[in-house]
Amino acid sequence: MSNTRHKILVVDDEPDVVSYLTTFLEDEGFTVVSAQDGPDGIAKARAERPDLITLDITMPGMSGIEVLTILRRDPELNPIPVIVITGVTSFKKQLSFRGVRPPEAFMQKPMDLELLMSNIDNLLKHSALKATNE
Amino acid sequence: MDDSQKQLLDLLTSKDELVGSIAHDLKGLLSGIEGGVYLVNSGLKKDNQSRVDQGFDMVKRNVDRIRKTVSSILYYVKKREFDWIEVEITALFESVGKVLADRAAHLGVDLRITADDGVFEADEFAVHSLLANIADYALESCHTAKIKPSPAVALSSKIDQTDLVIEILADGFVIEDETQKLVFEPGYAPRGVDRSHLGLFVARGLIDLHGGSLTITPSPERGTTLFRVVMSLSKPFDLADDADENTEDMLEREWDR
Repeated sequence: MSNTRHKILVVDDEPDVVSYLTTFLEDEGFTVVSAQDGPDGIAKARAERPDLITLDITMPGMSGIEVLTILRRDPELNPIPVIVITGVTSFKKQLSFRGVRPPEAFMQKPMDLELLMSNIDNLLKHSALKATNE
Repeated sequence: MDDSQKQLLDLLTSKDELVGSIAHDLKGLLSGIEGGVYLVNSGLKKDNQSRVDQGFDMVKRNVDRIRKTVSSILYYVKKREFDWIEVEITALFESVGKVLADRAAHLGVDLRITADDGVFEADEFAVHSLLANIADYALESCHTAKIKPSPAVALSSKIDQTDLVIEILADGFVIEDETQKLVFEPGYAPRGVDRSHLGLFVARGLIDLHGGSLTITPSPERGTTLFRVVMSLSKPFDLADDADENTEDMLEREWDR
């Protein structure tokens, strides 16, 4: 699958995680933009219209749950697939009370890079098929 | 459910929360180390020295953070008697400054250290740990709050008659009332400012074990928070050498408070 046309937005407050993910995904041929907090994540999602978003949950100010809720409630951003990458295990319960579509994939830290790439490939293929059929 | 059962349940719940918080923090730190290893390996393959250097820095930084977390955990669980010795104040502050220098630089917060000459009686390792933990919390809070363009944390000491007064001024962070009530509790997991909260719980316990006190004073109009630790220059009389309680028992008592 050609990766060079795909853009991924990485949202995480931990600079080392952002460096790690950005470097890895760029090595895999993606264009990467990043944000280190929720408001910047939302702003970059609107400005950059990425093909996929990776999202941390525990962030200062606005949590990843609030970010995901805003993304899902925005008709323009709603279709963008989201992979949550977090050390928190209980966030799914919190999401169910907000009535929003859960993330397309959920991964625990520390990351399994093979699994991450598999999730990204599958989600991008699914998005491409959906766009073709619409 | 009677009161004692409720207390026991609260205690068990707090400990579960604490273990959960530690696990979450360690996952983040392991991610940092893995990231560093990835950068080093890929940098070597691509002959990119800058990436290799960045990777090594990441590994070192996260190993240091894991060391601090493990130290805090060990203090909590280990039976440890205090080793009361004469501690040189200037040397102590220099050592704390060295430990935190890289962290401060990484967070973009200026770290300033000034200390009076003199000595006081304390467990050197414990006092070093509690100062480093409070200062680290201040550094990370200033970095996260982003209320000032040039945040700074200043550590200072002065001798006030028979007391040693240590002040850690976070210039660029104002602690909220709600946070003040929670920040020294073992299960507290502040959003964003994480990874040092266990250290604050242990820090307060260690201050108490030295017969000292800790006050926190926010100044919203100045954008600062002052952490003030007061300890006697001499080992307090009621903390006798042959006291029955060891460190763990006193921290347990602190937990139950």
